[in-house]
Amino acid sequence: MKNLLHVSVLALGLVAGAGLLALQAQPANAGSYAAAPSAKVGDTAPDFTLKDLDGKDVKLADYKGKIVVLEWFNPGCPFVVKHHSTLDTMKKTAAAYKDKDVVWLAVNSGADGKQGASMEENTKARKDWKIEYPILLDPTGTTGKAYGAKTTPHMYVIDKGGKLVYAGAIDNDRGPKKAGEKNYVKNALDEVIAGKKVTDATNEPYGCSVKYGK
Amino acid sequence: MLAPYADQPAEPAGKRKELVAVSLLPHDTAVKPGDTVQLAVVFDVAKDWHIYWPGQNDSGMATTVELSFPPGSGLTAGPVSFPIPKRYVEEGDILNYIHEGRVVVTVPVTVPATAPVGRAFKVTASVNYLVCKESCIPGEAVVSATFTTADKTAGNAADAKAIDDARAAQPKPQADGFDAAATAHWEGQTLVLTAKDAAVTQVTFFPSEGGAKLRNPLASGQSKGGTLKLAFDPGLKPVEGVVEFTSGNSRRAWAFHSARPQETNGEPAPASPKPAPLAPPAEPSSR
Repeated sequence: MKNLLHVSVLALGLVAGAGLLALQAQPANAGSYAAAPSAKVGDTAPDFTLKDLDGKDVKLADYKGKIVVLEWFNPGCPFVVKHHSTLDTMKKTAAAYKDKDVVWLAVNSGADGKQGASMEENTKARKDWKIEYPILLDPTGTTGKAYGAKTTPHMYVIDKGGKLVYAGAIDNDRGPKKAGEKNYVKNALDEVIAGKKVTDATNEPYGCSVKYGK
Repeated sequence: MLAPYADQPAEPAGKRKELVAVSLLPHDTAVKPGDTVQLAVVFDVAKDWHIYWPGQNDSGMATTVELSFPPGSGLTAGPVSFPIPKRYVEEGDILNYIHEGRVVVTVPVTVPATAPVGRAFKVTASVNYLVCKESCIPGEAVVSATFTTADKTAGNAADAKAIDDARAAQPKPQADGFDAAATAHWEGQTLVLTAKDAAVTQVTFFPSEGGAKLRNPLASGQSKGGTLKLAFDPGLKPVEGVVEFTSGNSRRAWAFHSARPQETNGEPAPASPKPAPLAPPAEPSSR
């Protein structure tokens, strides 16, 4: 799986190069190349091995046979604060599916030195917000970019076969305070558990930008 | 009155109230019944920080402005107009459309012709925004302004000039000269915009929040040269946004709207009896 990640990083470089060429040779054909080769709904979810806050390796492939929810995380982001502190969207949704073969993982792709990326900040958030699921650190941003994670939170659901079945927002209130009346992750989980196709499988996430490094 | 913009240093998070100062200014303090007065919501954003244009942003939050009037006042508001936004790319190919520095958002308000002279109207604007540098802080403000009906429309000259200047720098309505500046036509589901002025070195499209979703905006939303080709996600949502033409230091922009071409089974519709004119060949502007 490591090879896969290397391939995607290489592809990123190639596409960036192609973009430059296309921009120089006018007129550029807008539809002929992709911005970033990140996973899309329907693709196999990119595997990863990341360390949790206790230094333990967590590997996605180890959860084959389970449904996995990925939550992009940054304890300093007000939209993350909204769903962990002002409201309890994440805790409540995770708890509701805990006994239904659903594994919930938070991933922080902030680079070293960026807001919310340090071990201290994440450990404090885990304690203050009583987060019971693992918070994984992805300081190189490789996993975040493989999924095309743009915001915190940005939510993904992976089915038991390792296929990406949902990518988007947690809910439909894009502000920093209120809960949406529609929890997209809950809807996706209900459909996946019932063996159905996810109806609203891709939508626009909202929140702070993921604090990637260079 | 508009004070000169203070170049503030970046504030620590504890002083969050200083990051964005919001005020509401009327173009005229005396307004003749039946006239329209421009109201300006002024956001003074601290240096190095930004707020968000209501576009198809990858992250952040659209700035919103909502006016409210005294009950029974009969006042009516027109559309909210933002300045030309700026593309802002962060690590990880995260693209947002932002505003920095002094941001003047205008809304026209029309006073009913039947309003008696000498009546004072208090207008309130509620704004919501997210201000970001590396970290982001949500903010909101409620600001108000008052004007009075009079025989003749008049106001503070400095405020009026500041608002006139801000409006002159905003994207113009499409009907106000877009066709003289550029051609726009569809090639299948791709929209092709071509500047008529050969001096244009860059065309930028800023997709509005509610319009058709622009594909691959990072690479395809901005051209090098006078022609821009835009692909959109399938669907019937019309294209909505702002088109900007850059030549040298000049930035000219128009609000832009286009219905989607009709499709039959995913194929482009047969040519209509009166096809849109084809754009002239692109200037060989790359070097």
